[in-house]
Amino acid sequence: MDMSTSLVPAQWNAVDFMVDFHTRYKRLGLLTETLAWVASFALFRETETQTHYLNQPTSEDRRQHKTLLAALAAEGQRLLRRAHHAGGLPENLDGINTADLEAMVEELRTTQLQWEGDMTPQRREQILKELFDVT
Amino acid sequence: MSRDAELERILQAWFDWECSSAAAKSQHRDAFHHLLDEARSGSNISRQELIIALADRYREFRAAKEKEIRARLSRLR
Repeated sequence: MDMSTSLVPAQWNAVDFMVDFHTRYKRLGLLTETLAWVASFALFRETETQTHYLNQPTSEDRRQHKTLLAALAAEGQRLLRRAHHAGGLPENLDGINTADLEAMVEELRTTQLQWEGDMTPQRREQILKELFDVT
Repeated sequence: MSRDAELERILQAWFDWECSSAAAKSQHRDAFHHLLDEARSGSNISRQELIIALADRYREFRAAKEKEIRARLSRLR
């Protein structure tokens, strides 16, 4: 089976569904919604691995990646605000706390910088040379 | 530590952060930031700039790691 043409779009659709469902239907409570968001996050990373690291991403992969990355980060930020407002995430068997949620949102922002950050080749070369003596 | 090794440690810490379980995210984020801050100390380069400058190298690093993991798993099956 050619993963780049058949299975992967279905995975992007699954991530899209999971993010969209919890964004629209806020009725499960903070902890359940957060754990569902964590599951969406994991599926996003797995799909990213398939499309962007084990294969060459298509233009559709890049579009889906950018859109869902932004949607996941925005939803994570909303959950984080609610967690702060509630005095933190409720204790849970998975051991996820507010600091972890914050770190996950920051991880997504870092991924946005990684793929969408703007820098001239000259500036990149200058930084790598200055800090690591490589080009 | 050589500068090459310092760079490798940053890329590994970035990978560890992305691959860690949800309950270990803040710990791995802090470790990554610590290495970034060590590398840029004494310069006027921001964390964001350093991340963007390392982006291509990180893509190559993670692609190699993911392929290595898949190869190891397929040998076990």
